[in-house]
Amino acid sequence: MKLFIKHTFKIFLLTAFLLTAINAAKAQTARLQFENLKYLEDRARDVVEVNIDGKILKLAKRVLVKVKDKDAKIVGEAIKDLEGIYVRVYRFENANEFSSNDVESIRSQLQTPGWEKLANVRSKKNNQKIDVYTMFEGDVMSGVAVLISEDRSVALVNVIGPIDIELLTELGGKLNIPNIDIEVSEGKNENDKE
Amino acid sequence: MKEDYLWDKTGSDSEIEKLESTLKTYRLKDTSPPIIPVVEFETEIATPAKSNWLMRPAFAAFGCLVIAAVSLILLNNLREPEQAIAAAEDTNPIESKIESKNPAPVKIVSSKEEILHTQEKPLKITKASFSTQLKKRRQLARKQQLRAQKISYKKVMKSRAKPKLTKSKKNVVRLTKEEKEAYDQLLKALAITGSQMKIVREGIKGERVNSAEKDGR
Repeated sequence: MKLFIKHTFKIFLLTAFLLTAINAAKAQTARLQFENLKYLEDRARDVVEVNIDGKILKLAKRVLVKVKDKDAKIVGEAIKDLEGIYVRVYRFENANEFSSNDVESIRSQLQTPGWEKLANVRSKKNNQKIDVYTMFEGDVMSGVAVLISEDRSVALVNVIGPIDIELLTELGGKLNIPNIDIEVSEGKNENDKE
Repeated sequence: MKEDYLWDKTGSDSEIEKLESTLKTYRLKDTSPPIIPVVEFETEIATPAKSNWLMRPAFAAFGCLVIAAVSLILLNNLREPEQAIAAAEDTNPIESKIESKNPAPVKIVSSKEEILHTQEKPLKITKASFSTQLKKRRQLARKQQLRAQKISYKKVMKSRAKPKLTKSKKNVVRLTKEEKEAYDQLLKALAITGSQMKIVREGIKGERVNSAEKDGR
């Protein structure tokens, strides 16, 4: 009986230790969980989902090295240490087809230790909310999260690893990157007219 | 049963005698062998068909025609260098003098002295020089023929060869299907990220403008 109690107690301690270690590891990674956004996906008119990590990212980096272009080389340098890019964009037909609670699951993840708020912009025009968070491991940036929500669109960008964001904003349009700008909601014109 | 009766018919055996009497009718009669009548059959010996007397000369004529055609073809092939030589000879100023209607006759002389002593002004043509010239011209003609063949061969090879890719000004990179897909995905992600960051920048700028306006008031 005593031996049985001893063994069960050891097993319990081990599992507890493992769980805490896993949770700690999860808390430290800059990867956000998008599973709770399936509700938005079902209701959105347009959905853009891009996941780049692992093998795909390695292949893409290899291509940037092959391409003999100045911009390609600059971008290649900028994403040299990148580990992943995850993008979710949901565009809705009508305004207020989603509630703020739907997006709160993401904001709650950004409230965990490790994430630091970099920018917070609120605008009553189109009910725009912009949140930018970063995560650092020492002096090295380990992740960036951008959450932009408006009346008719929700955009999430999660970058894991160091990346030169300024360079990206400048190079938008070059390197055959199409200018994919999120459509400003048509309510702007209606509001202006009013 | 007594075996002696069976062997040499000595003694008597009632059973065997009964059998003999019943089988008497089937007893072999010593007679001469039967004569098989000879039947003569008429056979027809196959004789060869009479050949048409016209076919033989026709075949012979056809064979002669074939031989004549082959020989003509060969002769034509041989005549081509000779014609080239003749054409080369025509262009040669020395030959033109020979063939021209020059009243001065051309004598083929064997030594220089005879040339000097003759009243007319013949050309200095000797047998040896003429043959060497002919040889040279034939060699030239053959060389020209070979060159023409080489050129035609080169043309044929060029036409068979794969077309060379012209270098375009744009950098063409050969990618595998996976690489292309990954590259496209990355560009898409970077574009969206860039556009989102532009929105953030514009939002921050708008906030700054608003705050500046408020401070100014």
